[in-house]
Amino acid sequence: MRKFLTVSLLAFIGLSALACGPWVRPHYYVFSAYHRNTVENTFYPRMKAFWLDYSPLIKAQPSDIDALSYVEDNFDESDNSVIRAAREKKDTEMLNYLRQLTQYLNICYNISMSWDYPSEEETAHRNRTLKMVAIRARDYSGTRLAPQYHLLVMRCQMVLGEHKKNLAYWNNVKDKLAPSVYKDMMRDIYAGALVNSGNIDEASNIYYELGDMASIMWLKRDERNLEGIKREYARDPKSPSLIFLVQDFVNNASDTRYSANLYASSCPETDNEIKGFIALAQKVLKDGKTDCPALWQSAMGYLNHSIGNSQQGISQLTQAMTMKGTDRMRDNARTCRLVATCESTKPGKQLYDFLFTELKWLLQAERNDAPSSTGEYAPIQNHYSEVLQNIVYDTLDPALTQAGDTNMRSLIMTWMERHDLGDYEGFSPDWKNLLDNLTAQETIDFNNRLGSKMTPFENWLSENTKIEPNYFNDLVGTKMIREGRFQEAIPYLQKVSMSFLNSQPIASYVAARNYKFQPCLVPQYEYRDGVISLKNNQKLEFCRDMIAAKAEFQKATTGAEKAMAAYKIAGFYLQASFRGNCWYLSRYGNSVNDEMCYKEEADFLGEAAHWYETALAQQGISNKDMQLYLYANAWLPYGEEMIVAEYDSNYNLIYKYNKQSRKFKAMVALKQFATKNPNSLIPVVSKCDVLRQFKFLYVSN
Amino acid sequence: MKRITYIVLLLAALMSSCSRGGADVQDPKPSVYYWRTVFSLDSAEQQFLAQHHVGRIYMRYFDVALLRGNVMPNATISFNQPVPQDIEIIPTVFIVENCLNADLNGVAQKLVNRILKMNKVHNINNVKEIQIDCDWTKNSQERYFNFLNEVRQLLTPLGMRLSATIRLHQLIMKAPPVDYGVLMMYNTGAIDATNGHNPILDYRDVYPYLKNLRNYSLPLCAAWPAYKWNLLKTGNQFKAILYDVNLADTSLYREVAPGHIVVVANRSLPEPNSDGSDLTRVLLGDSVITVMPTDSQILDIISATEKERPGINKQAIIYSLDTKNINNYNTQFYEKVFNR
Repeated sequence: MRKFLTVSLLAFIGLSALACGPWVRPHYYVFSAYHRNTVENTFYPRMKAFWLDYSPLIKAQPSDIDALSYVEDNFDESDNSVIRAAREKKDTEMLNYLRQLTQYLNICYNISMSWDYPSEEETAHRNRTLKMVAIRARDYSGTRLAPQYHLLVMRCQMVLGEHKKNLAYWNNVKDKLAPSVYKDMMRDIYAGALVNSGNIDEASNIYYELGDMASIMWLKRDERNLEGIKREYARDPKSPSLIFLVQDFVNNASDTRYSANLYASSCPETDNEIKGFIALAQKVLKDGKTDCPALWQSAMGYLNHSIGNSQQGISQLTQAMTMKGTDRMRDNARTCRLVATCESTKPGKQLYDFLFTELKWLLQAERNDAPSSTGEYAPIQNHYSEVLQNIVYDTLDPALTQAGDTNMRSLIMTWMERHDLGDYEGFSPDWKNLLDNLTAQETIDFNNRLGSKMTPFENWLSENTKIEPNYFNDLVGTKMIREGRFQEAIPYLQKVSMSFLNSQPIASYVAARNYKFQPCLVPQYEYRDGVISLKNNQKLEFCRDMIAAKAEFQKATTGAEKAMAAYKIAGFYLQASFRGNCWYLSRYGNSVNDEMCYKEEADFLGEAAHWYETALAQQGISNKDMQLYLYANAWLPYGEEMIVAEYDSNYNLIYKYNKQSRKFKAMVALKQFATKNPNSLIPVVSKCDVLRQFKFLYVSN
Repeated sequence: MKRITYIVLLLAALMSSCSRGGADVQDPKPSVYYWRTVFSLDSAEQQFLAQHHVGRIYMRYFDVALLRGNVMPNATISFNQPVPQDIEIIPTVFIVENCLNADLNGVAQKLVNRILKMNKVHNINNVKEIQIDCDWTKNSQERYFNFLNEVRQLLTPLGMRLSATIRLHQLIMKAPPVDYGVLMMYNTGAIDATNGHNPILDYRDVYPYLKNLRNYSLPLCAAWPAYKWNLLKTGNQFKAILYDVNLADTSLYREVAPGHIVVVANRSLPEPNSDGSDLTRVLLGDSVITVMPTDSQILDIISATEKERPGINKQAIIYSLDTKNINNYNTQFYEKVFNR
């Protein structure tokens, strides 16, 4: 089923933040030989899931799982939904377990969350309780809750500081237990006991396998460089910690190279480390002692690429894809090869053919991999999503821009937009920014290309993707206004439905504004109260009015008529400029820092100046109209500033008139008129404080 | 008659000099702060105590912080070793300022009870005083002082004193209701300042406050730094203090001048960050600047404080007792600090 990518004009508001500015996104690590989920502690959600499954009562009150920590004193009367669920189920076995568990949890809670410091007797009592809980847990003879009880034994012993007992206990029971969150938690406690006994290496290996990367990073903090990896390899070529250390090394080293390239600096220490690592990897592969050559080969390949030996690196990565190791390691080799190829191949058929295959694979890998976090809008966010973002935004986008392949760039960015949004009908700044920066013609070409005959890769990219017609027509119409192509804009703007325009958050704002007012005479600061609907397409009306005003100028026979038409045209240009009240006629965002920033953008403020000057140059203008034109021309925010700040020889800041500026000249003309005709001034001129100040300062300057 | 007038004038002058500032701290002794979460003295620390005849240890017992919305004790010290019986212990509690906006009803009693119980459980008998440390401001002053009054009322019947730390900026405010104050002559600058001042102790930060010493109404003694910081910066912008890193790792750091290290690679370190996260990212081109006031800088500022308030250094406290710190300075320096 063809799915339309609808991107709402919510962008009217959203884009205002990035009207002319860049969108900065992070650059992610590329090398991932172990699953991202394993770097997060998953114990709590897994345990919570057990309780949520146990009873709907708990689902209705999930906070009661945490509240088990303080129900010990009134267990039999407790209203805690976990206990209540077991009670209602008449699950005596579970109730017995919960009774022991809550005693343990209560002690832990009181240790960390109590003003009452325990006396020696209380500590002794607490320890006796923990020992009793441990004994009862050890005495459990059933099978259903055996993992929970084994964990409880080790938890109690941990709090009692009986680390040696925990070492022995784990070794005694580990083979009898099926995999479960409880077993993993026991193993975590065991690793802690190992650290306590000084056995850092074994503890690190366990932390690696449990995915506790914070602990391994701390324990192996002095091994996170080439020398450390060499020591670890010499100690145990099959050490699981090596997987962490190698991945950590490759990501840090390649990230350093990336930074050095980005900021055109050098990193000789890292380059030496990389070269040393490549030599070590070659030795490791030659030794044959590792059980994951795919890891070492891919690390070597990606690092070779990062120091500029891309062809060699890509070849090594290709080999790594079939070498011994975990599936994840081989997938990692393929991911690294994709990145290395994109970064080292010029846009063209060879790259596009490669991308056709590899992007499909990457999407599959992304789907197969569990999400590492659930973004609000992104349907999937895991390591492969991040690599895809690196490839598209950091590599392909600039490369295609540089190569001038606008069509492929637009296709890939649209495809990426579709990918990033999933089912969410919103917008992403990247794609909106891209579309916003295309010229009207580029937008039309891009849209036409979406529907025309394309290569299989282009077809694949454009599958399920189309710019929503109302949005497309509004987009092209707006760009054409921006480019001064008012007549050409009309056919596009005519196709935009009123319901579409009124569905946009900016509709009320637009409805409250009028481009026909001269901004110097009628300020338009605020929204009107309440929601106002648009009655017509203001962009369309603007184009028609502009064309009509220009025709009026041509047809005018007297100087006064010509001047009035020119004055009107100037006002239109000014209002539709980025400094006007009706900026939305020519762009999708506005900020006080805006300037002309779009390709082929017409200089609306320059046009306004031209038309005001044209009005002033006409003959036979009435005294009143002349004041209007002079006033509007002096008001126009175009050209160099009238007043500049400079330091004098004593470094005192002084303000001076910039007498060459257009604004200064326009103000002088207004001043001269006002001086000559003091008794016939219209109110806006006679009450103009800027003019009054100018007259005073200009005389005294 | 002339002679009587002379004596009266002399007495008036003496009284006026007394009223200019509070008295000295009673029974001054060389002192140290102990600010770790586990009490355990190694041989260097024990030797330091003995060599400098340290008579008081201001020992951080716990912090008071807002936990799950409640004012609770946090990071309580544990004891791996008996506390020396021949040294007076001053249980010290650091109160996070935002606690002062929470419900403090009953907290003073709980705090005192907890300290007394800790003393009893750990056989800490030589205790005559409690100290409260808090970076209170004008906004929290009233609630803080009420809290101190409550604590003091609880201690008085027990024959115990109450002291409080005084930060430099607090010198210009009303003095807290305690028996004496310890002027914190460390952390005197903003850690993220870009003015080149030493954030641990810099005369330029201290100088504006010195004039307030003379008339400060509380008896005062002063605490002086013996630590250094490794400040991670991007350009001139502060990122984090690196507490436990191996700056000799040449794959990550290159020393370009004494106390100035350049980061030569990108890496995430398991170090707390100023944004509150557990990881600190060091980046190619970052700097690690080691800051530590020199012994002469500290001694000069000690002299300056002494000039403004004679006797303020009769009891000097070193912050803090830790082998990592005390080796930053030589024995002569500590002797000069302690023997004023």
